[in-house]
Amino acid sequence: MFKNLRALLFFMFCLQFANAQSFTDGLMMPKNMVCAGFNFGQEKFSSYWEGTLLRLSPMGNQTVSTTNLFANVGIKNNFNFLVNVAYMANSADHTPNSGMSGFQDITLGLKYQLPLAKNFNAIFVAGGSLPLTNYVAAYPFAIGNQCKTAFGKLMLQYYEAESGLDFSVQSGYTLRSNIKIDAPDYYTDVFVNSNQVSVPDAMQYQVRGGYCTYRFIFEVVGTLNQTLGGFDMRRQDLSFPSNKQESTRLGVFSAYRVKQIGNIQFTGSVMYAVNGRNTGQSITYSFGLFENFGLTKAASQACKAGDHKM
Amino acid sequence: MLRNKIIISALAFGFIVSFFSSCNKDITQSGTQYTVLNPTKTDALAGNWKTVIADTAQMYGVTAPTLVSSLDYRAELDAIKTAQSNITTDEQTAINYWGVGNTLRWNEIMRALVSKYNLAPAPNADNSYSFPDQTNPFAYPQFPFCNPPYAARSYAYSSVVIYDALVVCAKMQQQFKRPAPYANDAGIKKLLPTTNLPSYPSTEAVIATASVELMKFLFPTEIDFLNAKAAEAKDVAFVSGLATKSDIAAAETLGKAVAALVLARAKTDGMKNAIGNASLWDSLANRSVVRTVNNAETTVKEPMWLSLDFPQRPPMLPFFGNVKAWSFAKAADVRIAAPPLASSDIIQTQLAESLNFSQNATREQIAIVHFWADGLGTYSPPGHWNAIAADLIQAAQLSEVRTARTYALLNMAMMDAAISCWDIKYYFYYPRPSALDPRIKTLTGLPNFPGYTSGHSTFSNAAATVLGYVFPNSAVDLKAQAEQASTSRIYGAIHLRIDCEVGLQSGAKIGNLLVTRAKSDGADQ
Repeated sequence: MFKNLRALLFFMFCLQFANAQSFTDGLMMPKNMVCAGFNFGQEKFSSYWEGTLLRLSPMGNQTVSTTNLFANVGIKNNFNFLVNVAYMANSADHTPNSGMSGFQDITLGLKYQLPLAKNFNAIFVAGGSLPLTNYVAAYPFAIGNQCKTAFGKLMLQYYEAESGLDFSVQSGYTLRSNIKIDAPDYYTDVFVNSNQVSVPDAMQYQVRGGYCTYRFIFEVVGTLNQTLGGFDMRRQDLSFPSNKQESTRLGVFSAYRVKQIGNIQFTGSVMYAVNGRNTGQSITYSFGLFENFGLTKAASQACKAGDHKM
Repeated sequence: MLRNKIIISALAFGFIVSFFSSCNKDITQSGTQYTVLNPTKTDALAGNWKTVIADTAQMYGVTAPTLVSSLDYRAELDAIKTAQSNITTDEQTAINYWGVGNTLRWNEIMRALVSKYNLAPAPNADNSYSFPDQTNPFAYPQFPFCNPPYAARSYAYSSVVIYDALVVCAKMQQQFKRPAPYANDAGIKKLLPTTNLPSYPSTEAVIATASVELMKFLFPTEIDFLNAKAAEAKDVAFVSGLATKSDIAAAETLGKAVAALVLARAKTDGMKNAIGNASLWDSLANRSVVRTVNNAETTVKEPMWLSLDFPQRPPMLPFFGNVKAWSFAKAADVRIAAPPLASSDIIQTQLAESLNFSQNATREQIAIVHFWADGLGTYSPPGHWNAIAADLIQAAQLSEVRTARTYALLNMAMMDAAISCWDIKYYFYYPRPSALDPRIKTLTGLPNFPGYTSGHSTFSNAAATVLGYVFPNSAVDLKAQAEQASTSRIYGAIHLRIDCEVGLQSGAKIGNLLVTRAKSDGADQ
């Protein structure tokens, strides 16, 4: 009872607040089980790719802090509902310009796991996101771009429950809506006499693999995010919501459940941008706290996300 | 079973993707909704209006046209008919585009070019900065850096040249009285609304030629683009039955001659010396300045403006105040009173206000900041007022020459506003709020020049004053817009309130100088 109450409070705390670790992992929650928690990440860079040119930022060190509140609800063993709310803060240490912060977007998704063969699954994720607030979209320290999005992802996962060996590849497509900015005109690679901006769609690719059990996870992760179109920043230009963007990141993700404190899961990751275009040469650290709890007593007893039997 | 699952999943996925792929990514641009120009007044006697530079008594190389009864002229009319029998989709698109008004479209093209070239040079590896070089415009940093003073000056010359060329053109049209092609031959279709004004020289072609000659000088890397635009505009005049080839040729002669007069002024207006050099910048930064202390102006050592760019950038066009103005002899004649000391109560109170906006501006206030920011990569504050003017001109269906007059008055006022404002900025060298209190962070880009007075306020009130004279029914609304543009700089913590209030006063004063000119130029009699 105490455990469930604590978990519920945790979940409610989460809902006040937004990225999405589990939109991109292969873990499924069993029926009537919830995994909820938060994740705090800091992305830092002092150089960025202006188009393809890597240059020092005239704003010094830039920091993007993201707090994600996340929950994954097991509707069925192979069908989950996911929600994420992001709070962001963006600033730099060498600029007279003000940073910005606030609630960014809410992301909702459905995740469906389809066993293809022994130890081999296909996972489909479909969802979308909406801006939570009327945050500024076009400004160097904007916390987001005000796009409404819809996305679909397909993941192919190989997982040996016995050994913990885990490997997956995935690809996703994100549709991004047009947005309206505060300014009446702007320049991309042409002059646009409008406050409407056509934001390019984006694709995501990810490869991850390592060791994954209920207690302990360690994975090496590689991601490529890229927009389908958009324009390059010109020399000394500011970033803009419809920039062409690419970012290749390599890093590690790890998680551990501490038995002594109710199997709360501690997560941590480090990702480094090895290549990019109109993005920062950033290093991103993040850590999180997640808890699994059951919506029913039976589910609570069965709780073993990550290595449950289908 | 497994197969069914895969099929269902793939269908669901495909449905979601196709549903959202069908979302339209098109955007609506201002200007595309404009209707074809059918002027409420033809201004047939605009040849009697007062020009800015040109002389309506001169012929500028234009000779009398051939008679409409001549074989040569008949052949010219036949050429139009042939062209009209085979109009391509591209030509129809061009007709719809230029039909809205040639002066208006050339002004739009200017705004697009200003936006394209409104980027500051990147720092060199040794943290120094290079300056664009007009004699080597393609090299980085590309010429020009179209900052607000450069933009104001560009809009002014490109507007004055059209106005003067059209006034002289109107005079010649009444002198030669050669009827337009459609009036000479019923077989020629009127593909655009007609004015029944004589067409020698061609109104449309004189606008195109004068514009291109001037704009090539301002944006030398855009010569091919500009020539293509001019060729298109002249083809539209020809194919839509408004001008024959000889009407167009006469217009080219006239347009080039008037452009040469305006260019001669532009090349000697002092712009070349507006950047200065390192020793001049140092002497600006290391001097005593005039401040108002106890209601009297006195020379003191005070906190001075400094660049907050990283790396520090030389001040933007510190000697632009010496550029030759249209409505006053020298900038010192319209200079306003000195600002108070930075330590004074009024400045300290206003710094507190600035800090408060910096930290607590509402979303609505931030939207106002960004709506009027008109910073890098935009058509600049003078461009914003040209866009506002375009909507008014289009709604009023002003004739080409009256459109040109409106833009000339507006943009001479804003160039003079820039000259006066830059003189004041560098004379007093007053720091920005964020330099006086580093806790003050701005909500949009911080310009790299002194704070007192606000450029946005000066441009905007000069513009609102002139446009309020031309469009009296909109005067109140225009003033409100100028005040909002001014206040946006307080909200954004870019300026102290005094910078904006005094800037508005200064703008009104300069705007009124151009209104005085407008009242006596013959267009409103």
